[in-house]
Amino acid sequence: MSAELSLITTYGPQLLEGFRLTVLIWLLGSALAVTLGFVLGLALSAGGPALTLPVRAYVEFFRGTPLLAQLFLAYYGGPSIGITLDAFTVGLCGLGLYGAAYFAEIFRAGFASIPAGQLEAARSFSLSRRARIRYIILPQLLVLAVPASTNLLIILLKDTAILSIVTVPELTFQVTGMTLETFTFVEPFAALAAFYWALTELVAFLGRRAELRLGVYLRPEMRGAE
Amino acid sequence: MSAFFGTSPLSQSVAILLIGAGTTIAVSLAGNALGLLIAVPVCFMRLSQARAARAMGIAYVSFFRGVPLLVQLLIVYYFLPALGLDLPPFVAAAIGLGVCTAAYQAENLRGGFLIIPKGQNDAARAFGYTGVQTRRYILIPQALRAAAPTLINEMILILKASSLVSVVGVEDLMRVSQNIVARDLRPIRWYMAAAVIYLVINLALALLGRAAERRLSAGYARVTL
Amino acid sequence: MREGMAGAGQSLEAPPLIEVANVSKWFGAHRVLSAVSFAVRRSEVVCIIGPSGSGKSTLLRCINFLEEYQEGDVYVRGKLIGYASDALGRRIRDKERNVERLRRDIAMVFQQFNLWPHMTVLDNVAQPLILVHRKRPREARELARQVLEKVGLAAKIDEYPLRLSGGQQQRVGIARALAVEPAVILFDEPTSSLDPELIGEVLQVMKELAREGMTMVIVTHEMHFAAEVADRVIFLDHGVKVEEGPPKELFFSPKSERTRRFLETWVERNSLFLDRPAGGAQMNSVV
Repeated sequence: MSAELSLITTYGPQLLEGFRLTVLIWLLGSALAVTLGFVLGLALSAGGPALTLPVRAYVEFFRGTPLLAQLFLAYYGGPSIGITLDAFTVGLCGLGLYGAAYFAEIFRAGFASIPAGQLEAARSFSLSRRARIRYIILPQLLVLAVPASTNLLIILLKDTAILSIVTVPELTFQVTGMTLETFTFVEPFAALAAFYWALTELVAFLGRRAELRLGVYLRPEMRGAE
Repeated sequence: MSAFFGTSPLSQSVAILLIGAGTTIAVSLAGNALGLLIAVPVCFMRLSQARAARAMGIAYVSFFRGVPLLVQLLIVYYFLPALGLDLPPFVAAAIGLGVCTAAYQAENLRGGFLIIPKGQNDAARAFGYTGVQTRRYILIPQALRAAAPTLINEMILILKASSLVSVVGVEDLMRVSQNIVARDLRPIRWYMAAAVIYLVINLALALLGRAAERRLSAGYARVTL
Repeated sequence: MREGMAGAGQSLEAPPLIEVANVSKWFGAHRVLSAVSFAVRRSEVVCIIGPSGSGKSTLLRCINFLEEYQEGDVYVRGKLIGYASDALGRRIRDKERNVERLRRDIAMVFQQFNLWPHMTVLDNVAQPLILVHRKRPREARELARQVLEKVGLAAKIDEYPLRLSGGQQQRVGIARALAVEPAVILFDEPTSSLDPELIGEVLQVMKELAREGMTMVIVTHEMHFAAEVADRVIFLDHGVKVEEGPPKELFFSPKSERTRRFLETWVERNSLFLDRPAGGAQMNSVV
């Protein structure tokens, strides 16, 4: 037991740093994915063929190929066309571009499911474009997209582990390094697994809470005089 | 582009790439099959009346969906020898993939079961079917049909996820392209080629999925009762 | 009314095929069934009528133990179904195996048909014969074919159930019940899910079965059918057996006020019909 404890004290700082990086890259990568995904989703629903075709190609490529292949392309392929980025940036952009393709689909589906009648009603009331987006489209989009989005966020969190393969020093990278140095494999990885499990369960829990709060206006019993 | 297939070392590399693709498909199929085998009992546990069984089913799904596949593969890779099992990397990887995908497939199957009207179970019981017979002849066939689209979708996800088995020593498409790049020093060409091969296989799977869905629903219209 | 019916003499010799003794079922404060008792003898047709929510279907399902209950016993061919006594004499759920065995003698026709949609009509009827009654597949399919012909669906044996009309599906359901050669067939509101114009074909088959001496317990809203075909009618209200007797008695000189009230609209509208010659009367009841 004391062997494990001394492991923790020796590697503690690295593991902590790995955890910090995991969360950081997850949050930043997700932010990039959501933003880009929103724009792409918008382009897919509302754009003309000149726009939808390249966007569709993007989405199909990033959804149809493994994240690992994309990372390899960027990390090892980049230098040969003059783009040499550090692992963190590659990981961040890789996760972001990959996630954006999935968010694009989620938002596209969200846009498509807003009843057309509502948009017409808004137009007939001469609501400005911005007002239409802000008060009619966005809230409903949010509610429809939240369950799929929390799912995707959890997937992105798990995928940060893959970044370790291209030497991003996140948590899995640190633990792998530790096991290779200490030759104990099962316990550290089991602990790592338990850690991710707890983390994803937490995010799932928060996601369900968010769904409930946001979904309030969809539930009939919550409506006022009907 | 004409130089692409011209010289012998290049066509050799392409051949190696295709063999790697074959390994990828093989390990994905193996993982998928194993996953389905595990998913059926896990799903029944999840749907069980007994609280303990239900809790175990939920825990299984939660764990294997909550831990990154890479970590799971690493655990399987290092854990099996500790148990005294010296399995080739392919087998270990298939097990790792199978155990993971079973969690997702169990949830897909659960959706399939929940759609089956309760009355069909009643009819089976009323005619004296045992629990096993009811499950085997009435419930499972229908759950599989209902869940088929999601299960095929899962297969596509497994195929992409299988890229990780390159890390645990399987000579799959990713690993093989890494080997080629190590010699050939043309990362973009070969990683792009690998990516395109994944795309093509996924496209084929999607088309297969749609065809299968059509055949399975032949004559068996959606229940409208 | 039916061939070969020996009448009262026969019922005194033969023990009842089904015996329901003081069955009670409740959910918390809500009493679904209160000490209901009745018996069914060979070749009898017993109809159970009553308002919605009176527990009719629940009572029927207690017979083949699709419903569990807290008090009372159900005997199938003299054997207790569903429950047994443990070593200390306490009541416990019987082994599933024993229940399955007893269910072989009882068949059921459901309101929602409950055919298995992923199999053809023929297989729907043949499979119970193969899996439960251990018949060889070829023999089972031949038997199934015969029964399906009897209910008038010989042309549909290779169809899938959801392609058939409601009336046809229910006839398949009846065929499935017939094929296993049960001692008794339970009918749970067999025509309640059918469009009016399809009800007649199903009732026709059921009448034929009754005429041939099949023992039947039928939960139904079709008062015409009950009046014409039943040997006995049981009126259930709020889980209580209010009255039991031959249809003439129940419909036209009921002993209980509740029975009278439940049936009076129907009787008013239909008493004339019962005297009309066959073929003129509308088969659908509108209670």
